[in-house]
Amino acid sequence: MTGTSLSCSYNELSALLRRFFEALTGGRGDYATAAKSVCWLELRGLDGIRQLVADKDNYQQEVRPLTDIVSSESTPYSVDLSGRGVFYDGFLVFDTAIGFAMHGAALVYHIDCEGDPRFVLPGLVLCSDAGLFATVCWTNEDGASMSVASITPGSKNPTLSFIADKISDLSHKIMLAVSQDAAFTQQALLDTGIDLKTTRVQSSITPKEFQERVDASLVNGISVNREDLSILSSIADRVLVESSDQSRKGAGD
Amino acid sequence: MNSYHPPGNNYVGQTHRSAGMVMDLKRLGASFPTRLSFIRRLIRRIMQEKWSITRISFDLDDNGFGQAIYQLEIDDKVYSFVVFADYLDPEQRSDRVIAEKWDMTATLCEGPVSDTQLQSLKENVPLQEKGRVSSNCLVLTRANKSQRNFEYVVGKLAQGQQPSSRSMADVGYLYRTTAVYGSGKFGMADWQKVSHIYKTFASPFAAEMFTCFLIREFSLDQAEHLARRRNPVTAIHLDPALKRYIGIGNATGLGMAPYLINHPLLIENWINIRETALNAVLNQSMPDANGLHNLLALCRKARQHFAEATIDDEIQTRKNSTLLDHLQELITELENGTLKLSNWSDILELASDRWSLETQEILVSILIEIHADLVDDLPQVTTVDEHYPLRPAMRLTELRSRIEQKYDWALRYDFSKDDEYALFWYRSVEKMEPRLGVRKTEPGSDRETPLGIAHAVQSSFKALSSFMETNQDGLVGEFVLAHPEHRAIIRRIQTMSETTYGEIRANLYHADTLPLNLLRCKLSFFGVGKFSPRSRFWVRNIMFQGAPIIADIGQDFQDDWCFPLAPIEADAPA
Repeated sequence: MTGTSLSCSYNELSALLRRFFEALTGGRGDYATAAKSVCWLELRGLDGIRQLVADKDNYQQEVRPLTDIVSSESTPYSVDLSGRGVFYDGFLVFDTAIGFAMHGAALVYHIDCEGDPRFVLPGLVLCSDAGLFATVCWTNEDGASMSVASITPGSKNPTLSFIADKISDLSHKIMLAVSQDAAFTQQALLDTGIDLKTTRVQSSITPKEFQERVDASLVNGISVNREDLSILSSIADRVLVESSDQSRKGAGD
Repeated sequence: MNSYHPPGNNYVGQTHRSAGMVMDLKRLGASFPTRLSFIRRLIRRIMQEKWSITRISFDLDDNGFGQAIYQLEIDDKVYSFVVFADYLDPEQRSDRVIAEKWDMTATLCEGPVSDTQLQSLKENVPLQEKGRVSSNCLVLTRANKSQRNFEYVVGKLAQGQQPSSRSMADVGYLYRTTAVYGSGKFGMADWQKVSHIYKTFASPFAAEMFTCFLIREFSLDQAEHLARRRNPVTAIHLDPALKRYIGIGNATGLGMAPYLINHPLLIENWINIRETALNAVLNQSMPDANGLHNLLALCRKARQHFAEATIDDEIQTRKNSTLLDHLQELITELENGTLKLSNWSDILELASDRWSLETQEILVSILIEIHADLVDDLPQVTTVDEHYPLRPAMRLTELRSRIEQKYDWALRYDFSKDDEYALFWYRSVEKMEPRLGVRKTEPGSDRETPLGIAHAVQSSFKALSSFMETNQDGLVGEFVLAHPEHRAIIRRIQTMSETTYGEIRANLYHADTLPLNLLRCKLSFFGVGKFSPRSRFWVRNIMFQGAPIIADIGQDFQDDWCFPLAPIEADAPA
């Protein structure tokens, strides 16, 4: 615990985030899954809360269907998450991808969004849990480097690689490929111009290293910026109802 | 009438009673602890494994204020129970979660406590929700003295006299806990950490229950300490039999209710363990002479236990009175030999025909109790992976079929009726205390806590039916993309439709909802007794009454302390 950060437990953070999402959507959305996605990143040291705080204005007091912004009739599907809460709408993209892929389809999504694309990483685990292969890649915010992540069926964590060069010119921000067939997701990545066999990978985080991060976070707590926590709390507190003599009777007075 | 016909011999993991019967909220509200309850299991472990618990520090002044530390050494680890006893202004004494000060506050943490850590705990533990503790703390708790009992016991001991067991029977404890926090709250260790690293406590609520066991021990030590300070010449120790009879009180409010709704897989597991045990009894044992003898003995003990209970609540008093009458009927028939049982199911069938829900449920507890050999070694609840994943590839026809078959109970409510949609649950700004409000007259329904499973199931079912008019062959993934507002309930339905129990079959928005039933259900799994409702919303109860005390560890142990009876006083007539 330092002056600017506070050590939180996973459960504590998860509860706060559930209230945060509940406050923003009036309790109508799947705020538990959204909270879990943010915690997934935090447990692995990938700054989910920082991104959430940066994008907080994109989460509306309503749950907006994504159907009207998924364009094109067949793969690659185009999804524009700009101006939307990515932790809310991101896993909905995976829902459809997994649904169709489990029935034999092989899909590629081109996703546009604002901010950090790492919100897609928890979705890879949903694919893995469903017995699917999945690969994503995106151009990092510096505009000069790229990230690639992939997962195999049954794995609890993906492999995340950082590529020093911008070797692909993705017109969209994120490429996501999902299939029962490993060759399909590998080819989808090759189609973007990235060949991990020949590309200079600057560094990687392996599934084992991700798991070690998770284990360490669960033992030592998750260090969270106090200012970010304060912002989240102030929004989360909107679900609380003002007290009165009458309301106190509703708890047993 | 419910029919009881044991389903074959494969009893382990098999259950006998239907979900419709078991998960009815009124029946859940008539639950009793069993020998499988968490407290009973904990005591068995403490006694069988001979836990080494030592009071290593007891710095209390003449008023009983100060600090104390108890240590548990087990499995190459040390756990410290650190207590802070403070003055409490009577004006500030409250059982409610919104209280700010308490007679004692405490924490259970891993490791010996250094002076630096002790100072940090001293600055934070008494603040409770407003403090922070570190991730080596497992439990944070507080308790208040029983105003009726504590001073009476101290006074008697100081005069060299034992308190009367009648007085002890009226209240049953010296301290009453008002909150027992674990699972990562306020910076404490997450359940994942507890279950993987602090393995001694890797079963549900084990650390929390052990903490309550130690609060009880502290309450006895503090009372004796004060008696000695008051009159060192005449003061005596509390009789060990009375010590065992003194439990630790507990006040539980609405906070427990959301837990039951939000952890259906856990509830499924808890209920399943009990029902599997019952099934083992029904399948593997016959009511022979020995079995009937044990049944009679325990019915007599249970009856006396409830006859000794003093309950202020009128409704619960009536229920207890009915229970006494029905148990007496059974006892008489057993004594006269007029009860003809061809198997144990007969007695449950008889109970469902003739007796109250409470009598039916206490018979379940008694049948399990007298068959320790059949139930104690059944698989124990360890950790439950509470995962409710969406299965987007499921066909909508399959989803609809699951709702119609497994959630038929939820589809029956008519939420257009005022009574069915009368209440809402919410969290107050006052320490996020859960409360119930009246939808039409109180503010806050726009921020309600979504605990209405039946209502959510109906809403999703309507949306699903409408969606399927044009997407008959669609997938769940497509449906939630169009209706993300139903994603959470759909994944719950998908998981829970593959289980037997878990969903409490009630409309928690109904005007007549009795939250007490939810509380009692959970408390019975904890293993507490003497439920004494204080309103529709909260209940007092007693933990560990009759259980061994620390001084008993290492001595012969008979695991028969259920339905504890007031000790016979030395000068009482034979």
